[in-house]
Amino acid sequence: MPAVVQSVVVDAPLPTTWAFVRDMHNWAELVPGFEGYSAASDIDSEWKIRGDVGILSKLVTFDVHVNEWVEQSHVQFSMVCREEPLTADGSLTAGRLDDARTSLDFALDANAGGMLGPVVNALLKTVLPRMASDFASSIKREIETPNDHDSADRGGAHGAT
Amino acid sequence: MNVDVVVVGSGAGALVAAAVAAAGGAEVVVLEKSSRLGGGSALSTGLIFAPNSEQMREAGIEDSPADALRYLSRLNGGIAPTERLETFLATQRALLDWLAMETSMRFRVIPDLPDFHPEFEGGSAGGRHLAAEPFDGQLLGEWADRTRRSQSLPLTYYEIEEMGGPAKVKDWDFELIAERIGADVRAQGAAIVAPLVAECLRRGVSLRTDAAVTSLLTDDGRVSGVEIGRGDAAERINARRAVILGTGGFEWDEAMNRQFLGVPLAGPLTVPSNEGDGHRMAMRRGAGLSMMQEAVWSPVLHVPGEEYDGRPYWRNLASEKGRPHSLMVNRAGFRFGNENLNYVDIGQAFRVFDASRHEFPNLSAFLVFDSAYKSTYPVATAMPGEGAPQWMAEASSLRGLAAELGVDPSNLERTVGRFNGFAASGRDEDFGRGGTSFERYYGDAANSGPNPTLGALDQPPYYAVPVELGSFGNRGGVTAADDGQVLDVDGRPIAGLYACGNTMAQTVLGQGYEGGGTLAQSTAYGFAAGRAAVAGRAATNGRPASRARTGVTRRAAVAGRS
Repeated sequence: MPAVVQSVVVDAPLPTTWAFVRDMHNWAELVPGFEGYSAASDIDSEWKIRGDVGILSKLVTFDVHVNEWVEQSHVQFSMVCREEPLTADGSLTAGRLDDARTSLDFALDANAGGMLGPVVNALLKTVLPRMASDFASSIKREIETPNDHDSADRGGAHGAT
Repeated sequence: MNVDVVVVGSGAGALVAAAVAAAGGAEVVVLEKSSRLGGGSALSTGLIFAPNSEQMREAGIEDSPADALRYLSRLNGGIAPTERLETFLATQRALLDWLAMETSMRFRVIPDLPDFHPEFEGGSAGGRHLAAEPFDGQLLGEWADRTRRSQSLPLTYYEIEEMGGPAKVKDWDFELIAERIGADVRAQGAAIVAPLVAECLRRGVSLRTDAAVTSLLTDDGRVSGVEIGRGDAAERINARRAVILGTGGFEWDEAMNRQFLGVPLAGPLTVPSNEGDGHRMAMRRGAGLSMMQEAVWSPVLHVPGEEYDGRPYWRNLASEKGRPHSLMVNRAGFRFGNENLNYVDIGQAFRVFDASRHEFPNLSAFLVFDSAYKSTYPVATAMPGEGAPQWMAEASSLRGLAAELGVDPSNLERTVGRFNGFAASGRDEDFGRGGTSFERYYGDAANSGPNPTLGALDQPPYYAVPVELGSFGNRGGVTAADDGQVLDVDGRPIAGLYACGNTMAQTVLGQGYEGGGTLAQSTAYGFAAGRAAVAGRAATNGRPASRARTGVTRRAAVAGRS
C-alpha cells in the first residue's frame, strides 16, 4: 500500500500549532487539489479534492471520519472515496520541541482496491511524496504566518477528544 | 535568433521532421506552445498503419505493395490521385528504414489486428499496424516530465493481444502495468513521442516549450521565420531554410469547428492546445485547404470530474461499444448503425442530419447494456464487478432505464427485443454487426452465442451511459505537395513553408480511415518535410509546383487532391 510520512518543524509553540490543527477545515484546505469542505459533525466531514491520477486530474469526494482526537497531541482519521474503491488512514501528530517550536508529523496510508487497484496504488506511490511534502510545507507556512485561524470563523470546531 | 529550420509543434510528425532535418546537418529548433512536448500523438494509441512493412515480413505475415495500394485506393475514394498514394507508401518505407538504421526506435506488428475493412480489395486480416516497443521515460532526463505521458495503461497493443485481447481486461497483467508506471516505462503514443524527443536531443535539436508561435515572418514572398508571443514580448526566430508547421488539428477551437465541421463536436480526444494555430498562420499566407469537414470521429464519454490540462477529459468508447450484451440507441430509442464498425465510420452515423425534423437525431446517444456486460467488461473507469458509478444510469427494467434516460420506453423495449433475436441467431439483420474480422476482433470470442459481437440484453439490472460525438483529431488542413511543402489556393508552393501532422489535410486516407492512419501520414510527411527542408528546396518562390517535383497537378491541388 502506498504510504507516506512527512515531518516539519513549525516555528510556533505547541498551543499555537494545535489551535490551527484542532479545526480540520484549516488543514483540509491545504491538501493539494482541495476544492471543498463541509462538516457533518465534529468528527465527520466531506472533502472534495481534485487529484492527479496519472496524467489526468479528477475531482473526487472523500468522507472523512475522525477516529481519535487527543488535545495537543494527535488526530487520527480515515478517508473513504465515494467515486473509486480508495481508502486511506492518516494522522497529524504534534510534539513540543521547545517553547517556540513544534514538530508536526503527517502520515497517510492509502489503498486502492478493485481490478485497477495495483495500477492506482502505483500511481499513488509516484504522487503521494510530493503531495505530502507540499501539504506539510503549507501547514508550516500557514501556522507561522500571522493569520487568524479562529475556527469560529468557519462555523465549526473540533476539540473533543 | 537564426536557425536553419523552425518546427512549430511537437507531435510525432513534427519531431520526425526535426530529427531528420538535424540529421541532414541543419540547425533546428522545435517550438511547442504548451508546457510539454508530444501533442496529440502522445495521447494516441500509437499505432502506425504500415502495410507491407519489414516487420510484417519478419513476423511471417504476407503482404504486397499492390495490395497495400489497392486497399489505400479503396479507402481514399478518389480524393487523391494514385501517384500520391504510391509516393506516400514509398515515403513511409523510407521513414521506417531511416528509423531502423538511424534511431533506437523499434516497432512490432500486432499480428491479429485486422484492417478497419479487411473485406475491401487489398485488405488484410492482420499485421499492418505497428506499435512501438515500450520506452524508458527516464532516459529523457530533465525532459521526462516535459514530455507527455499516455493516459492509457502502459501496455503495447501486441502485449494486449498476448494477454487475450481488448475484451479480456480481467486477464491483463496489472502487476506489470503497475511496475511500468512506477518505473516510468511508456507505451502506445508516448512510446512514439519519447524516443523521438530523445533522438532530437541526441542530434542537437533545440527544444522549447511554452513557446506559442503567433505568426509567420516573410521575406520577399518567402516564409522566413516565425514570431513567438505578441507585442513588446514578441520574439522573432529566423529560418534560413524552412518553417515546418505541425501544430495539430483545430478540434479544440470552437469557432473553427463551427466554421468547418458542420456538426457539433462534443469531445476532442487530443491535447487542448490543438486550436488550429498552424491552420490560421498558413491560411494568412494563402494556403489551400482540404477536407475541413472531416475528423477522426469517435463515440466518446466524459466521466464527470475528469480533466486534462484544465479541460474536460473525454474517453473514447471504441472498445466498449462492440462487446456482446450491449447496443447503442439514439434519443428515440432506436439503433442507428453497426456498433462494431470502426470508430470513424460509426462516428459518421452520429453526423446524420434529419432534414425533415431539422435535427441531428443521433446526437446524443446511449450505450445500453445489461448486468452480463457490466460484470465482464469495463466501461471507461468502471471496472467489472464494481458498483455502478454515479455517471452510469441503472434500473431494474428497460422501461425504468428508458425513463431515467428520457428515451421512449416502448421503443427501447422493442429495439432490445429485436436485437436479442439477432443475438440468438447470430445475424444482425439491421446493420450486419460482427460481419467482418475487424468487427469480431472487438467482440468477445468467449461469448456463448454464434456471433462474438452479439449477446442478448436480458439480465437485469440494465445500465446506460451517454455517448457523444468526439474526435481523435480533425482531418482537415492545408494542402501540401509530396514533400510536405504547403500549396496555396492556386496550387503553387509557398516558399519556405511546410506542414505535417493534422495541420496538413489527411488526403492520403481520403474518404475512409484506417487505424493508425493519422500517425502514418503525420510521420511520413514529417519525414518528407524534414528531408526537403535540408535539400535546398526551401527557396522555391511562388512558382507553380511542377508535376515532376511534387507528384501533383495544380488542378488536383486546388481541388484538394494534393
